[in-house]
Amino acid sequence: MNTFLSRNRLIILAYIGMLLLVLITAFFSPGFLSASNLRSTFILASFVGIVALGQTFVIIGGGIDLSIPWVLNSAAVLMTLLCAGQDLPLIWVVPLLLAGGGLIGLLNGAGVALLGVPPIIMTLAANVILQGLILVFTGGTPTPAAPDMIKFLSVGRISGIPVIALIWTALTVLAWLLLSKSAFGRHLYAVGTNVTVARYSGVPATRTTILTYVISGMTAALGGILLTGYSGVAYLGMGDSYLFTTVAAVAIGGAPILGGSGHYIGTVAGALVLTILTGLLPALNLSSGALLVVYGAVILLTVSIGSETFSEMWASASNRRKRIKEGTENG
Amino acid sequence: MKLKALVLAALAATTLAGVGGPALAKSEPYVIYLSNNFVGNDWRQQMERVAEISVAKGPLKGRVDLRIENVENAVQAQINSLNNIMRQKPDAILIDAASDTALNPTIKKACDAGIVVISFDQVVTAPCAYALGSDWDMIPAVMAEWLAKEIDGKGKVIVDRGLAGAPISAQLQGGYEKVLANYPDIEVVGYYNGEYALGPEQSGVAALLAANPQVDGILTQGYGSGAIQALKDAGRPIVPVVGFSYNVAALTCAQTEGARCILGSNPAYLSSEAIKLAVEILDTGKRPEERSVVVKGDFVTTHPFKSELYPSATMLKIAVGENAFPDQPPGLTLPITPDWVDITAAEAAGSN
Repeated sequence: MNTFLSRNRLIILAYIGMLLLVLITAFFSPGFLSASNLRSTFILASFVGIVALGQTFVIIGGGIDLSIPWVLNSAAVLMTLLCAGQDLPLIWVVPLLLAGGGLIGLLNGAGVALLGVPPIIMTLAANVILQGLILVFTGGTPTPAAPDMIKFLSVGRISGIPVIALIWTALTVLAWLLLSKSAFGRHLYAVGTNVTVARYSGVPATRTTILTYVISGMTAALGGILLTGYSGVAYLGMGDSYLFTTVAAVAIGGAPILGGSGHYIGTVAGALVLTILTGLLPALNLSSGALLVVYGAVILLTVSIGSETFSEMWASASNRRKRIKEGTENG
Repeated sequence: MKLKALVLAALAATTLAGVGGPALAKSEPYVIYLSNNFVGNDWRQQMERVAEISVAKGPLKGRVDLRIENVENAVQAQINSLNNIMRQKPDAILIDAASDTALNPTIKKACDAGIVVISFDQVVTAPCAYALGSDWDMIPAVMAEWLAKEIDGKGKVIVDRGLAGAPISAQLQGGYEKVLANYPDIEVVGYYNGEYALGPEQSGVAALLAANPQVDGILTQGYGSGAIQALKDAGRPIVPVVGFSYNVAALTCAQTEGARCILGSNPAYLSSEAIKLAVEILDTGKRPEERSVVVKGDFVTTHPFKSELYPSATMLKIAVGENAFPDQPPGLTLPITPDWVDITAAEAAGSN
């Protein structure tokens, strides 16, 4: 039990933080715990969570994916264009776009793992190129409304449970299996900790790294498709906020930005924390400047509580208490 | 009223030019450049399309050689582009500007070279350039007045603050609140940042609905349809909503049972109006007295009313097929066309 606690301390902290935030928010916002609001909060968190899934894999592997905003945006725009408001084309459009997202990820991963381009440059370039391509491709024409099926998937309910919650849960199980139960997961942690050592130990490092970006491309595309159902339309710039939120969700969930550890289960808490926070802040009636300051500060605080320095301070403090208790050191 | 006179005079001039035929007008088409600093949203794209359409038909057909130059969203890039444009010695330059002041020295050079310079939408302060835009004092005032009347001057409302740090956001918010302050029984119980996008509007309103058991009206700076969706999701009564006139907003208002909306307009055809103004100046050699030229877009609303603050404000009642288009993209800005040329919704959307 103790090893479980210490191994997953950061993830547990993230969930404790989330519960605290729920209590605070419920205090300031009396309707927060109503069924309809919890549902809408959960739906919003699902988008962050789904898009952050890929980011979690990339960050554990020691990289970062900055191409998420326009992979997401491109998928959303292309989905509405190709479907033109009809459900039927989704049969081929969704797989095509997921494959497209995966392909962008493949290029990102190849650039990083094969050509040695730093992940920040590689994925940032991909982001800008995609933005340009989508403007050229659409000629800026506003796109048709989202098909009803997509609306159902993102805001619909099956016996009271949001459909997207089911999708998110299924993806969470999948991510858990990949990270905790598969060879790919073990390889990933090895690569993220030290790629050279991993390579010498026979880990297929290149393939593993590329795969993380492929996953990220696919989840960003999926997020874009589903997010279109939420607002009913795809619009340019809809992915922009997902860059910061995905990285922040991963960080709040306890994964160090340099890779090697962390888990998607933590990211789930991170996505919930960020979404609850955006529900709490308007209820505080702060000015818009103060709002941004508080938003940033809370994230910074949450992340730093889980940082290495803090954990060392924590560990040394508790060791000291232990030694005092055992009488080997004077208080 | 001056504006109206100006618009009328402009109309007369165009009509005259049309009636008088090529004899009156310069035989070569005028070379007019449109310098646009940003293409990343639906509005700017529609603005460019209607500019092109309004010189391809109607009274300006064959009269203007329109060349559109887009630059990335940076002041320096637009200055470079303007310098290049000047070397082509055009008759006029129309500018949707990256900054209201930083382009001024470049613009002065253009004016000194005898080029007619008209800034529109995001206007500039250079005295030699015209500033053509919507009336940002009137728009929020009329909409807040409408909302106050819809809720009989009492109740709790929430207000969209737009985008943190954007001047237009502060202007709209201030415009709403100034009018609401005339109604002592109306209380602003919450603010959210709608960021001119549907997602943030919907989630922002949802958060405030959770925090406030009673909300009687919502003043958005964005679509309004996100606010209506949030009301529906929360199972709350559909209260009066203020927003801006995008197709999706008008359609949502028209198709939602019991919805009451007013949508203000910053028409994408500001570009067409800028072109027309340039042609008039070039044709007649006469310049408007005021450098600031206001274009009035009609309000689009489910419940037209007579504004006491701005009696000249004009209202269009939302009618599906007429001014809300189910078969057109949600992001289309309404109204579609100025009255001196007939631009269709499909043309403005670029969907045909």
